[in-house]
Amino acid sequence: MIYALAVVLLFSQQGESNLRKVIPNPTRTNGYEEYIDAAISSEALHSGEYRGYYSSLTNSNNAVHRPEWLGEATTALDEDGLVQKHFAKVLEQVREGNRKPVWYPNREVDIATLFPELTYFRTYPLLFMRSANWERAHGRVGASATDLSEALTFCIKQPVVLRMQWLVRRASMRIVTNQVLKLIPRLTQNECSQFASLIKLAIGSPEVIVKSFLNDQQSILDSALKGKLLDEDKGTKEKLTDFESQQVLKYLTAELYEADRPLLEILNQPESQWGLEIRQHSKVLLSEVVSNASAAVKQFCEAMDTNLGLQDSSSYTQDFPVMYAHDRTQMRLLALHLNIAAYRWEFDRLPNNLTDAVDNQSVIDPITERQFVYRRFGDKYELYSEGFRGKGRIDLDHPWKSKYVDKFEILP
Amino acid sequence: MGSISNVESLVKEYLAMILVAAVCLLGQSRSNFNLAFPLPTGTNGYEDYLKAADIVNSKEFIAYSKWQSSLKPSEAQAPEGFTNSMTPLEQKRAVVQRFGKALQFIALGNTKPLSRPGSVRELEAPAFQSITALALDASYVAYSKGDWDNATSQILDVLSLASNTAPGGTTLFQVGNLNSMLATNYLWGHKLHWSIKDCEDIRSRTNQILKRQSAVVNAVSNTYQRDIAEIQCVMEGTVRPVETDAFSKEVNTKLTGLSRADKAELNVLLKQLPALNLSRLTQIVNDSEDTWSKVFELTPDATRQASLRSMDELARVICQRSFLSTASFTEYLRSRCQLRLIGLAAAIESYRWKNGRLPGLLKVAANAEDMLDPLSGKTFQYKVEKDQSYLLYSEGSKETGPVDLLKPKSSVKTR
Repeated sequence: MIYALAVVLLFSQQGESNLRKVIPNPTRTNGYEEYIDAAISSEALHSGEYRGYYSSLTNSNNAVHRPEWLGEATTALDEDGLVQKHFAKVLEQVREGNRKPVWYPNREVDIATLFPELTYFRTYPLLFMRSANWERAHGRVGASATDLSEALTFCIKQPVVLRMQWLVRRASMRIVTNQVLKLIPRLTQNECSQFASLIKLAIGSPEVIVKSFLNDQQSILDSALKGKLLDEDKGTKEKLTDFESQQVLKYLTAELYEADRPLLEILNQPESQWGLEIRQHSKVLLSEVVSNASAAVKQFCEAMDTNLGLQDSSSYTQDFPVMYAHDRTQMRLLALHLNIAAYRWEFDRLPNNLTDAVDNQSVIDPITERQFVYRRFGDKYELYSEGFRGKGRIDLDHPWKSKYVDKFEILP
Repeated sequence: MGSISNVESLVKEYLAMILVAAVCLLGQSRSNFNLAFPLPTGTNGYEDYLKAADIVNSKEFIAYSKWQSSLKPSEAQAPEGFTNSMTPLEQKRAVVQRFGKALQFIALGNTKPLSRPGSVRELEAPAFQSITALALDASYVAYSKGDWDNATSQILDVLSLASNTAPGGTTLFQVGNLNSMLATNYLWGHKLHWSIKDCEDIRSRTNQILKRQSAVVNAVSNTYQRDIAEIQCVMEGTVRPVETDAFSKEVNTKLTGLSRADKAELNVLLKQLPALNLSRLTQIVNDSEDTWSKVFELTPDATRQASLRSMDELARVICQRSFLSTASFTEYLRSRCQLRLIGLAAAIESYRWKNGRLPGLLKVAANAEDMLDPLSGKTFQYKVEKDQSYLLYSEGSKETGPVDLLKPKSSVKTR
């Protein structure tokens, strides 16, 4: 798939010089600059290769990738403390970035653009969460709440220009929201209300992802026009004339358009319609586009299909709206769980109805256009979305274990 | 645990306390502090306890308690500063703001040496019950806003209060046990809000309290001394006896009509019998705790109706009435067991913070000594559930049944 290719590029291209290239002339008005500074600091602080660094943040027991600076820790909590201390500068830089408006730098983006910062961006929420755990364990609840809030704010502020960035942001958001879900019984009333608001904000509008899809298409076409795609195809460029290149571009445009059009159409519908089966896009027949093309053009187009995964794109778009709705519903459910927890603090009991704890709009499940299902059993309750017809209910009992998740997992 | 008889015994004890409270409010000075310590020294922690008692014995606090416990309070009944539209959390905030000074006195009293005037009736006992309720509210408010250390220390302070005041007499002993159970139940409900320091504080405070085994002996001894002194006054006709039921009326009638010789015989018996009981009680509690059920052999048989024909019968009845009831000693054993359980829960929660998961076995988080349950003679029961919660309980004794950290209405097998 094209995103698999991009991710390979993402994780294979690192280095301070690459990070500096993202914003060559900082203005200090854009929080993205602090995020880049934090990435540069992160790179300088971790010893050894990136996988070891990431592993040390996610899996304490990984003996293979255990960095030296974790050596003295005997418990997971000790490691949290060492992570907080070791990456104090990174955390401060991200906090500084969060305090400013954030936008993606005015940078030309195409298929060959590197995004070395995303490698580190996905670690910031982990750093904040480990710091938050350290603080909370020692009773410094305010500091812990601030850390969690910074993690959520960072996720929300990450600009999305291309779909790849959206996927990285989504992965970060999943890490943080999963942690918040686990922490609910430990949260204060203020934290519950504050995080519920932030999470509702994070759900955002599907417009962001639609734009990122369109930008993806545009960047691929731009790259093709500049000959960058051709460069990658084993020297076929030399064999193609200008006319042949135009034929290839025509094929590529039609293919991309046909692949994504049904998806974009459905994302423009109300969320309740996202579960409908997407009309199978009509595969652009190679023969129709390049019926009179030379063998070199045919060979190139076939290679494009294989290398860029265009042939697979229909299966991707088929499931995407349901997966995306599933994500959004889980975020809504998490916000509701938090609102219920805040209510519980106030009244020392569970609400009888969901509307007792949240506003009338928030209780409506956009998928079913009815209220989320809430049932109280003494001091326990269940809360879920009935989901799309025939696709099972959506809840948070087993967060992020949906069949839709693994398929789109792009990170190690 | 959770049997109907437990609930009944608790209800009976609460009713008894309400009765004492009524006597206190109707017949005595409103200021326990002035009553017990006309010349305060400032060095005795009990003076601070009674200052706290005065606050919750105030008209304002009593009006608040009455309004709060009313099922359908009218707006007119709402005390100043409170309204019916307040949420429970708003009510708690308001009551803590207004009467929280009482808790400061308790915390202060806990830091000083304590000495209770032995001759004074235990009229402060119901106030300590109110103080515990106030501390639960204050702790709830603190937990809700993330002030964990303060929230936990409020509860530990009332645990110390319960333990420090229990030796004062059998009523204070009963109230202390009930308050201790309320506090441990409440702490258990908030175990996910303990910091590592809280866990350490809970373990250290519960260990301290558990070491004070003499509380029960002192409570009985103080009650004997006071009750026998009162009996003598009743016999002399210098004090009007308190009659709570038909049988106590019968006893008092008998006491006031005794001949000189009977009085002399009764006085001798009232020195011998309590001394004997206390000696046996001391012997038992100084022995290993798993043999404490022998105390039940000393407790009165409530079903037996004494004839009061001989001085010996009369003396035995008086001694039995001043001794602990079976229910009272059962609650004591249960409250001690709960203190051990909450200490273990603190060890488990500390382990959870440090390792990010629950211990698979209790011995991983706690030492062998803490795991031993004197009540059942076995180790405490611990089981991790699929949802990362856990069961922690004692199999208990024949008298107590299984004991966990839930309120009496709950059962060991549910959370």
